[in-house]
Amino acid sequence: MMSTFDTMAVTLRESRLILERLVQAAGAPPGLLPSARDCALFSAALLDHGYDGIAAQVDAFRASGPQPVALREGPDGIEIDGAGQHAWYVAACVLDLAIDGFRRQGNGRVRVTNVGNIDELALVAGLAEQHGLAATATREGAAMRVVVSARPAAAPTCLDRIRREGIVVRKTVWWKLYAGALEALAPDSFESRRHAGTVRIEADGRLVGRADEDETDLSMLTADVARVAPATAAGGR
Amino acid sequence: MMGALVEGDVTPAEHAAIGAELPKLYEGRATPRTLTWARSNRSGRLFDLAVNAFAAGRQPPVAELGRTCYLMRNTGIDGNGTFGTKSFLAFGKDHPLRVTLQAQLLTAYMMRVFATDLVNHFAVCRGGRKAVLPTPELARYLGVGNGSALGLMYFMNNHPRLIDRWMEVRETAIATARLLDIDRDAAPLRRLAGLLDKALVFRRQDRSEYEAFVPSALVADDLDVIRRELGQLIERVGAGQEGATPLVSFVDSLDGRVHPEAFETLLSLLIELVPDVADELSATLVLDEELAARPEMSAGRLRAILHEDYAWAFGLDLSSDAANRYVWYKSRTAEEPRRGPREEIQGAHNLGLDIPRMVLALDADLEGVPAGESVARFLAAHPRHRLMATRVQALAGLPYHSVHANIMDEAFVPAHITRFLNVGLHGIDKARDFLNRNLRGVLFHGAPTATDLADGTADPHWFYPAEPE
Repeated sequence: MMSTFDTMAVTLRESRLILERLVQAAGAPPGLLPSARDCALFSAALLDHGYDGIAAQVDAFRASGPQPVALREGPDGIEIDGAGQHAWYVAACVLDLAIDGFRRQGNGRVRVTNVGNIDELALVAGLAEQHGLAATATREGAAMRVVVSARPAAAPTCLDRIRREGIVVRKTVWWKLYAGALEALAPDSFESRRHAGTVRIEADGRLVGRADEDETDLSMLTADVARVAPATAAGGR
Repeated sequence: MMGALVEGDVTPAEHAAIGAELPKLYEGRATPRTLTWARSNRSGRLFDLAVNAFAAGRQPPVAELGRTCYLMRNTGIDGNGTFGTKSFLAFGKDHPLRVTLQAQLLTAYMMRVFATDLVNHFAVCRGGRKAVLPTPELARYLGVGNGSALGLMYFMNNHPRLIDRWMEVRETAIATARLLDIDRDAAPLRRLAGLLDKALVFRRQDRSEYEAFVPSALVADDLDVIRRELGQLIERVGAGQEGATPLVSFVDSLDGRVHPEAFETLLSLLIELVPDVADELSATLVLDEELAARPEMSAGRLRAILHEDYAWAFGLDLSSDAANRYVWYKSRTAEEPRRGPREEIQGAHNLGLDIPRMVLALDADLEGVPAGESVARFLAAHPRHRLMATRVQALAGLPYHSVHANIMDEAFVPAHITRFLNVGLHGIDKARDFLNRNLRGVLFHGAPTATDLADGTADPHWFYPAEPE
């Protein structure tokens, strides 16, 4: 059991920021970034493993890659062959097809096979709330049955809960994920330092840009207390 | 300066925790009930100039202070979930800071109060009995500085509903004001004339330097034209020579004839004629930015929306070297948003939302799909279009949600977008641009002081302050 000393609550914004970087560094293409990120979010928020299981899922996700899925009309709704992809790549697609069936034909049932880490598909419960619907995922042998149904509009959602309470995570787990997410950012270099700021230094040492009247004064950050002493010290700067 | 805006009384233990955590910034954690974390820096020379003058018993020279109009500059106010701060959508429905950015703006106001207090404290320390306080006029004139850069482009991409609503609110207020019935006493026009006079003086006295932005002197020249013609309109209204809604044709007659900056200044001032409408509209700036798709929509409908709402994207040059020149990214160092030529930053993930290319790619793949097929089935076969298909569906019909430009193009000037947000959403004046990417400006320029607020003497038209004499 986790003690409050060992844990922290991370906000929705923090979760999305770090999870998006993690899936991006793990190869999610731009067009799938928000959906993969939200799969990771609901995986951490809803599934039993919580944030403890996210690193292992990211590793499995990294070994996967996005592909089209194959569809077949089955006796009880669409059957989806996930082409072996990780569940975070196919969860939104699976849910879409169930919602499409539910809203157009009144049948929100789909059956999913050939998906890596298939138990992760339980996270569709969170994704479905963004559509104003409910969804369940139930194992049928090696396959997963996903069923979409109506939900009361006023019922609080998982996102509402995260906004209010955050997601509890072990500090050690969070800071490890945080450090891993930095992989999505660019390492600092001479060139990259020229890509921001009020002035730019060229390779030949030339300064480009105008000097500003508002130069930042950092002296107080390094000075000792005596520096701000009254009257007699006034001329000392 | 480092500080935190916390709801309720802060216990000694919380105070100690804030002191320990805040300096860690990205690796620190806000205490519960924290709304924002904030940092600011003194402006070196001008801060000292002000302290020395007050310490010597005189007011500092406005000619110098007027070059920035502040003594301390905000270097970061983080809230809405960052570092563990409270998510603003979790605020109660009657929370006074529930509207977007209100907690951050209150923090900036407190930064301004702190800057004045700090200057006064140092002046008294140095000058003792000789020291004087700033005059009330100077205290109002000095705002708090603000630096903004490329990161606001990400804000723009991530808050399409807020951007759209803000524009909608502004346009609605302006349209309402233009349709005002004006009696022969022309009271609203006289109020407008007074505000234009303020704007004119403000622009004439502007000592800021700009690069890509229009010089204030040029804007002032055209404000002069507008003011002169408004005077003539007031005379005609007084003589009964105008219809009931004279602002409609007056505004139309100026469109395209004066500089767009001067014209937009006029439009903004029109909003002051309908303050209650503006207040009511601005209360609607509480928005959920979650974007949900419509999987059951037909591919034909999606394509129709694409061509209707994103027609601008189809005419852009997206293939030339210049059109593909830049990449947007963040550095590991302080997570600084940067934008650089592609060849100089190989391997970086492009974080800029590439709307036009995504739109064209989506359109190309939709072309071969039966119009009646659902978007769900389309995305099952073309998963890489999920982001743009969702965005297009969720924002369908909203007129103002995205920048109509190729932000990777070398001709794209990010500073214009930063200025749009700085001026529009943040209320920043005199935003000075640097290298097309960084801005520094002043918040709460002319705003009532804490004393004005406590006394009930705050001027509702405090903006566009004249230089203190």
